Amino acid sequence: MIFGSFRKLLTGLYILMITVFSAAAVTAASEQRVYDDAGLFSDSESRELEERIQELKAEQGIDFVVVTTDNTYGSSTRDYADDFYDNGGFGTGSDNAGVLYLIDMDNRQIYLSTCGQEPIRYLNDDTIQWIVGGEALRHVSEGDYYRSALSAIEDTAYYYEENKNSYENGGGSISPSPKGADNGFDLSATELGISGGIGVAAAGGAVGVMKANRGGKVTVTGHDYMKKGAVRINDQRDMFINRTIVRHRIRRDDDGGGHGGGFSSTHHSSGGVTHGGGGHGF
Amino acid sequence: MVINFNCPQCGADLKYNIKKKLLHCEHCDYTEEVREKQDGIRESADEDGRFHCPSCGAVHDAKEYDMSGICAYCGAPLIISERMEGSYRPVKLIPFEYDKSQADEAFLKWCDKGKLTPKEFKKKSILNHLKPIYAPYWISDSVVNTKMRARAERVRSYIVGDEEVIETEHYSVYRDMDIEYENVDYDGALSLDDEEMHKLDPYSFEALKDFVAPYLAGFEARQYDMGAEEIAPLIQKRVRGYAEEHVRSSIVGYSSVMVMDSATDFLSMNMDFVLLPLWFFEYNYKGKTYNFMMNGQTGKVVGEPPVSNGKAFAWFIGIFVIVFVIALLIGGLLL
Ligand SMILES: [Zn+2]
Ligand SMILES: [Zn+2]
Repeated sequence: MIFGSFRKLLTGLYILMITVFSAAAVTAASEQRVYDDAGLFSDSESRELEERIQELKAEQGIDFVVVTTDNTYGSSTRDYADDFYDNGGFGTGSDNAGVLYLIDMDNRQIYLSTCGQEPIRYLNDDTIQWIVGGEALRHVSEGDYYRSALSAIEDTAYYYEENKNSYENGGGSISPSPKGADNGFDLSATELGISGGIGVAAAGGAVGVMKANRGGKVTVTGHDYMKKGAVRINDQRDMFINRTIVRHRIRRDDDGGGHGGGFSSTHHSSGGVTHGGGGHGF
Repeated sequence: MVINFNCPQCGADLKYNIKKKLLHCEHCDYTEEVREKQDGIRESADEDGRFHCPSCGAVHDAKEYDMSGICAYCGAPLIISERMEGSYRPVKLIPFEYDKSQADEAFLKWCDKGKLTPKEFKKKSILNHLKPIYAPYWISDSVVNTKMRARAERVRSYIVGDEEVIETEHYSVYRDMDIEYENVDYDGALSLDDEEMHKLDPYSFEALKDFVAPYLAGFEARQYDMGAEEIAPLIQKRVRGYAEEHVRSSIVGYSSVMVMDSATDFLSMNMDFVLLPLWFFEYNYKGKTYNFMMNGQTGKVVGEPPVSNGKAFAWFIGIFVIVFVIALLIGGLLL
């Protein structure tokens, strides 16, 4: 028990630090959602993921985060994903609703973490296994990380919408509400420890960022040196080759509760936030 | 040959004045346009690695000077003309825009932004260490051809009955483009770090002037150590990256793009040796030397200031207390 708390504390501490660093690399104004800490995407791939995430956010109101890492500092894939999400300040609404897809090269796992009432409800355990066991897994095992992330995003958006409709049409029963009743303010040693750890991490991270940002950086790009109007296109072809079609049966749950009626198991992250989620090794 | 220029009115030394953009006599306020000088030249010859200051006659060791400098005894400009001959003669230069008072101001402003910078470091007295230097650069104009082959996919999915259908259209994409780049600059001094120098960019090359020696009157100027042949591959590498990034960005409208191969050839490339202005600053703090550079045209500062442990600690404690309290409050509500 004590060991477990300590481990959670350490995890929270490390991940908060990483989030602070990652987030500080981008100015607060821009809404970064792709954190490619393991360097698996090219710049343009990261950009395309960001764009797709923004589109889906506008269309469906789902807040996606894509994270890659090659070092979780000893924590489990699940803890890393949950803590990254909590510390990054992502999500919409009062319950910070959103979904995070993590490619964890350290533990060789992919993981989908859900947070907030609606994502946890609409992305139940079965659905999550379906997503992380499908295209996302196929691409990641082929080393195509970009398409793995893209598939995870697309599939999540798709099933989210499906299950939401199912619920709204009365097909789904309300899944069990997150455990852990609110029993008021209660200061325990564990809590003091965790809060202290988070404080140390945040302060250390912030001062670290101040230190790292002292030197100045390269601000010019290729465009600054391009002569105005001096691009000549000699040839430009986009040739259609073929079309492939993949079909799969949409799974219906046997409990008669409809697609959205599946069970969503939940747990608490080190910061005390309720998450759902699931993963798959590769 | 070591030369400098004397004032036709009073005989004092003429120096290039940044504000006025003219050759100027500090003694009687005489000014004249900057041009190749035919008259009013004082000169003294190099004798076995030593030379006399043309103004005061003091003896200097030639090894301590590069292309130009200042007499430590009388402050007169010293321009060493044989060190800028043939391929060592700069083709052009960008004159300083920031004079000493503007550089001071820009530097202090930059120091103020450093939240961890020690108080001593921000004192005005340290500004005596700022000195203007013309740094050797190679600038290059080039025309490149980039050919890129990629595979792209457009994915859409829809529902038919109780089946999900994912349709993927596969494309073969080809691009062949010529792109012109101009004034790609790369520093030619071994003593200056390439990455640090790149951080000083951009310079605005509209301000380039044909080089004549009087621009150097009163400034230290450095000759290049890395010649055109050595720098050309480094510039090509940078330009190749720019070109391929540009061509890649022209492939749009797909769910995913994978570049199969790309090749960039230089159809033409020329290189000129130029001098670019920077303010250089060296400072010793607690036994460590810190170097800073400021773009002499734009005022952009590069370099890592020292860290005050006291300030870092104060920030740490401040942030810790705030986050700790917030975390306790949140934790208390949630757990
Ligand atoms: Zn005079
Ligand atoms: Zn002298």
